[in-house]
Amino acid sequence: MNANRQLDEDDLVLYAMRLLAEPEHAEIAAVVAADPAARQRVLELRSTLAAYADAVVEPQPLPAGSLDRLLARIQSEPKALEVPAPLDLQASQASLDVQAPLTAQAALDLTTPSTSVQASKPGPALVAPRSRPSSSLGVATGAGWATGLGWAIAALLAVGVGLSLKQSASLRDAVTSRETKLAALSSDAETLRRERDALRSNISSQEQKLATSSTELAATQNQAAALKNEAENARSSAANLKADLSGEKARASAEQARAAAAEQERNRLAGTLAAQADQLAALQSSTSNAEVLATLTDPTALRVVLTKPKSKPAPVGRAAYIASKGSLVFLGSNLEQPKANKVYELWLLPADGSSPIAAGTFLPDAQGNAHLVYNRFPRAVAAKGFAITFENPGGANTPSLPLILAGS
Amino acid sequence: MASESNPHDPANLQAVSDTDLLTRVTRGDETALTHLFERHSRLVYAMALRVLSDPAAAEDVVQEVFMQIWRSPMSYVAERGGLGGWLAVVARNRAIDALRRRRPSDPLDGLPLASSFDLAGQSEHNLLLEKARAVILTLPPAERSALELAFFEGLTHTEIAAKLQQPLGTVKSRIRTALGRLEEVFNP
Repeated sequence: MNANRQLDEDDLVLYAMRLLAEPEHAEIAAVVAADPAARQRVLELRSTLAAYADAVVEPQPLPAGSLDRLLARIQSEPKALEVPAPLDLQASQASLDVQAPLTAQAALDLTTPSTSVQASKPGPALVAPRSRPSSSLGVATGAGWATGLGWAIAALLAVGVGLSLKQSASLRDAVTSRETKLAALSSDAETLRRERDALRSNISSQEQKLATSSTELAATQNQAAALKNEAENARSSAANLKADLSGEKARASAEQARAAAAEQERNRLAGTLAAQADQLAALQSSTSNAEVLATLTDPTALRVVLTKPKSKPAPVGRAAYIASKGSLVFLGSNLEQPKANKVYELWLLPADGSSPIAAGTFLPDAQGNAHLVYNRFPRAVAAKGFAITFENPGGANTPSLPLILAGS
Repeated sequence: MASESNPHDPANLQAVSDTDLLTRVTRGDETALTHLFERHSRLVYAMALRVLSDPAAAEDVVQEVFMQIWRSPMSYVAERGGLGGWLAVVARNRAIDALRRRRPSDPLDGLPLASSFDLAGQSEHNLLLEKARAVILTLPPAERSALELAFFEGLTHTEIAAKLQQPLGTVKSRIRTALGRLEEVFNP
């Protein structure tokens, strides 16, 4: 395997999960360190693993005193203020290495009494951890003290060191102060940047949620509108059908009414027609009767009774009777003149054999002709015949014999 | 920043985000580190204990993890799992290193993320965890057990394949697929 090896997803997964044995793990670590894309992918996978751990691992209480031990350790390992990271975190990686900012500090330690700087404590001062190894220069200086080169030299050195110490101290103070300010500013910038990014991320996530919600809302609204339309259509159809139905009903009842009216009219017309037909028949009948009657009864009409030649004409009477109407017409011919104070009287002989009913009196004219129209019978009486008698003027209740003429 | 008016007042730090606490640790604020410890040490400890099955060794891992925060707090920029989950993974990796008796080495442990992922808000974070749990529950049993074995047992992939008596390719595929399904929760 070499540093140019192309890593596939399986390599990165196995590496991120620490599932590789050495030396493969170290080899892939080297490739990942040199490949920003691979490193990014490993970080993503580790983020996912972090979520997995967060989701499945049940937190457990620590052994007692764990926090105290941690605090005791940080007391014994005072924090060196890191050189503030530039905003480009990638580029600042080296400076975050605790080793890096202490290089210059080690030189300063050499000129300082051993107690002043090493009595370090946590705080804003840039100090070196006690455990930091001394440089080789420190060792040489110590050797100088031990060998004792002479007071003059020592004094010169002391003066020189003293001056140097003052300068160094003021320089250190200035550097420390600036570094502290820079650190504070940089931290502030970093915090602000994080807050900004968090806000951006929140905004973006909220926007996504909003967009999703809007889409869902729109879809729901569409569905609702579609349903509403369908419902409206159905309602409208139902209303139309209902209207149609009631229209049909109305038409049907109107038709029925018209039919009933027509029937009534027809019946009325039929009745009228029948009545008119009756009237017509009656008219016709009465016209015909009237003509016959008029002809028969007209005094100027020539009446001739035909008999056997050279024989004396015998008296004759003819009666026509309609029982249902009670109408009777009698015509007589060749009738003798009755004796003084006598009149002819016509009698109806009922079919049931009851007493004869008087049907009127009459006198013949000079030629012996006579006619009688009588329709005042009290009821329809079936007749079996008619008869004529001589009675006193005004008529009698019963016929007086003998019968002058009789027929059935 | 107003919230820094009294950074040593514990009451002021209860509601402070992990990111802000890390920033305070950068300035040597022990109280901020104490708060981070109180927030996350139980998850970190549980993770280490699950891998190591040894309370003392697990507690050592916890100490190492929080000492690393003290030394270089800006290294930790968690994204999906929040700082707690991120620290749990660091603890797991250290625990596995301890199991394999090798020098802790991970270029990523000391690396700040280039991207500007930030800690999610608590409610959003809880929502993501609920989703992740739901996905884990619906994983096919073979994938789920492969992922658990890989994450908690400290075995190498060849050891897992031997233990499961499955081909190496199958084991790799199951782990990759399970992780992929989990990632879909975060990258829908």
